[in-house]
This record gives sequence, C-alpha cells and structure tokens, in this order.
Amino acid sequence: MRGGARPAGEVRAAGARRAGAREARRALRAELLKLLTLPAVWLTVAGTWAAAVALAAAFAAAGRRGGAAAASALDVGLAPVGYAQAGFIVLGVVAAVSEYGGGQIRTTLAAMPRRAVRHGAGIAALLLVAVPAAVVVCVSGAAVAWLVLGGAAGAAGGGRACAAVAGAVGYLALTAVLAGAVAGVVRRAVPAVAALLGHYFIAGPLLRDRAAFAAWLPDTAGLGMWSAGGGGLGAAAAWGVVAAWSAAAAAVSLAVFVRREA
Amino acid sequence: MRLLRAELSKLVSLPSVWTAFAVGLLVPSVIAYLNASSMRGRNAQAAGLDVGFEELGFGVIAAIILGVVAVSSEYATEGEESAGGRQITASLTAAPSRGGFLLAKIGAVALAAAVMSAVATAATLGAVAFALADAAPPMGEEVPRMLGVVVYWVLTALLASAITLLTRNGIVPLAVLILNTSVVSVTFLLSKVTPLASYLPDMAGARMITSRIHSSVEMPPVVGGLVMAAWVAALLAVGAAVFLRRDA
Repeated sequence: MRGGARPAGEVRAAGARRAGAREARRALRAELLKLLTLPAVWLTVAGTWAAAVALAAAFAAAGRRGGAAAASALDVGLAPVGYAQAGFIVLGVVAAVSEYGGGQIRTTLAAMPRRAVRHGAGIAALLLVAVPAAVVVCVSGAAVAWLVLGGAAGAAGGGRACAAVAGAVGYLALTAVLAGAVAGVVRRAVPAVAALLGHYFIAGPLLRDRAAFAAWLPDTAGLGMWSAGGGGLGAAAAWGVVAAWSAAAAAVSLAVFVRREA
Repeated sequence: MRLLRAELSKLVSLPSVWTAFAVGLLVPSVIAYLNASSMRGRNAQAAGLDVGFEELGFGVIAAIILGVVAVSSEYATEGEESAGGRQITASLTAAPSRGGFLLAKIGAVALAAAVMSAVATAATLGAVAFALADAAPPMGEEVPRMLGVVVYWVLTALLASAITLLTRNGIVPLAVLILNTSVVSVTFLLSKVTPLASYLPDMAGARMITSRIHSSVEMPPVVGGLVMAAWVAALLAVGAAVFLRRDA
C-alpha cells in the first residue's frame, strides 16, 4: 500500500492546484462582472476619454497656431495623459470603494472567503478594465493630434511611438492600481480622491522642481514613461519605480485587507 | 444663529475637514519654506516677493475640500446598517426652512474657510520669513495681498459648495476643481486660446494673490476679486434655486 501513497499524493496535489486555479478564475470573473456593472466605471472611462480627446485637439490646435517647434503628433497627443491620469485615479478609487458604499463587501467575502484571492482578483480585474481604457485614451489622443496637425507634425519613429504609447498605457494602468490600493485602505471615495488628486496635481508638481527626492515619487518618476520631457529617470527606471510604488501600495492594502474587519 | 452653530458643529466633526485643514496648513508652508531656503543665497529680495503667496494659491485645495465635503457629506449614503440614510433628511427635519439651512451652511463654510486661510497665511509667510531671515521682504505692505488670499480661499470654498449642491456627489467637483488648481491649470491653457478665459473665476481671483499672470488681459486685483465674486454669487444662486426645489 505504501507504493500507492505517492501517486495518490500527487493526484491530490494536482487536484488542489486545479481547484486553486478554478477558484482564482471564478474570483476574477466575479470581480470583473462587478466592475463592469458599475455605472460609475463607465461614466469615468467615458468622461476621461472625452476630456482627453478634447484636450488633445486643443493642444494640437494651439501647437499648430504657435508653430514654433514642429512638435510631433505623438508628443502632442500624449500630453493630455497628464490630465487623463485623474480619470484613472477616480477609476481605481471607484472600483475599490464600491465594495464599502453599502454592505457589499460582506456578500463578497461570504462568496470568496479567501481574502488574498479576492484582493488579487480585484487588482487583476481593475487592470483588465484600465489597460484597454488607457489604450483607447492614448491612441485616440495621438490620432486626434495627428489629424489636427496634419502635415505640420514632425515624424516620430514607429519604435519610439510604440514605446511611448506603451509607457503611457502602463503609467495610467499602474496609477489606477495605486489609487485602488489607497482607496482600499481609506475605504471612502471623497477623502481618497482628494488625497490622490492633491498629490498628483498639486503637491507632486510643486515638489518636482524644488526637491531632489521628488524624482522618485510615482507621479514625477512616471513622467519618464510617457512624457517627452521625461522625469529625470530613464524609461526603464521609470517603469521600475512606478511599478514598485504600485506593487508596494497593493501589498500594503492586501495586508490591511487581510487583517482588518470588513 | 442656532442654525449656524449646528452647521459649524457638523463641519468641525468631519474628519475630512480636519484633514483639509492640515493639508492647507502644511502644503503651502512646507513648500514655501523649501522654496525660500533654496533662494536664500541668491537675490532673495527680488525673487522673494511672490514666495509664499504663490504656494498659498495652491493651498486653496484645502478650501476646495472643505466646500465640497460640507455639502457632499449631507448626501453620502450611510450604508445598509442605517437603511441607506442620508444626513440631509435629518438636517431638513431639524431645520425645515431650506433657505435658512442653506444660508447657515454657506455661512459656516465661509467662516471655516476664512479661519483656515488666515492660519495658513500666517504659517506660510512665517515660514518664508524664517527661511529668508533678514532678506525676507517686508510684510507690512503685503496686508492687502494677505486679505486677497483670505477672500480667494473663501470664494473658492463657496464655489465648491455651489457646484456640489448641483452634483450632490463629491467626486466630480473635487476632480474638476483640483485639476484646475494644478500648476498648469486648464483655465490657464484656455486663456491661451481665448482672452475671455481670463474672466473665469480662478483666473480672475488669482489676481488678488499674484501679479505674475501671463495673460493678454490686464485686471487690477479688486476687479479680479469682484469678477470671481460675481461667478460665485451666480453659481450659488443656481445651486440655491435647485436646492430649494429639488427633492432632498
């Protein structure tokens, strides 16, 4: 009988792995469904997209009139990312806070008792919404700028264009994750939005020119991912720093979520 | 008077208001201190005239949070435990006269914003004076500008309240107003497209604080303040009309 123990153990382990994968898949599906049925998510994405396209058109129109430097359509089209990040911050906050508005978190945890699985699924679902939204925002911004600028646009190489768009998309998605993590700890929408927007739009830009450590903050470091001006770090380092901030924030929010009463 | 006391007590018991106060105190004073220390060696007299005031212009985020939260907290649902109740139903039960309630609310917001801005102005200019030591610009002639900061903060808080009266939700006005306080604000970009944008409330109101606005339209500080006040009055009138008529 001892000879049969090992295969049985392996079978059991494989079964447990399959069950774990199924649990993760189901959790992700549930989180994604919840996210996609929130009207606030759709309104935020639509509003962000509309504002980004309008800003890209305005920047391009101003650029064409100014005509000083032949700005590339890519740089002009990605410039609204600086404002569009607000939409992705709100997206992350809305996704995280929707659980706490009523008592939904208790239903969620009754259905998915493993908190780490549910937290991971929440982040993955947020990424699955944020990345396509960011692609649409960035690509349509660049396309609008290209249309408005027409022949006046400086050419951008295909490789650089792909890298810049990928950087912008990555930055927006990682920012949404960071915002979701912060909001998961704060659990209330208005304070989370106020704190995040206050950092990204007021404290961050003010510190940028005045303190050396600001280069390592997520907003300034993120400039290196998408902005033509850059943030003092190279693109690879910028990706690393912003991803590290988002991962650290997600880890903190996971630790808090696992320990705190729902 | 009792209504005003009630509104003030509600404001003072909101954690977000105290956070806003801390932000409004720390952000301008710390950044002004960093800024002033970095220019100590150089020609501080010439460069230092706007130090502090510029930062106070960004510290107005505290007034924005205050104005938004004062109204949005009335409409936030309190969850299933309290039957999805909202504070506004309790407030209007206690103070059935909506006009009186709204006046008290506006008064409390204005008062709180005035106190916040006065403390923040004192702290920020104190930090600048401390950082620049004897090179600090004389403060005596800056009194009108200090008043300008207070008026700007109070009007911004009321503007935020007026918009939140319409949206009943804090996120939209917060996002719009904070975005527009950023270093390169949307209205500033707009003023490059059309000179009319210089008459938008924040562009006009900023004249009370800083002289360095690159715009095609010249406006003395008092006129800027009046333009901003007109905007706020108009928005408050719309907000009040909606508040008086709409189901709570």
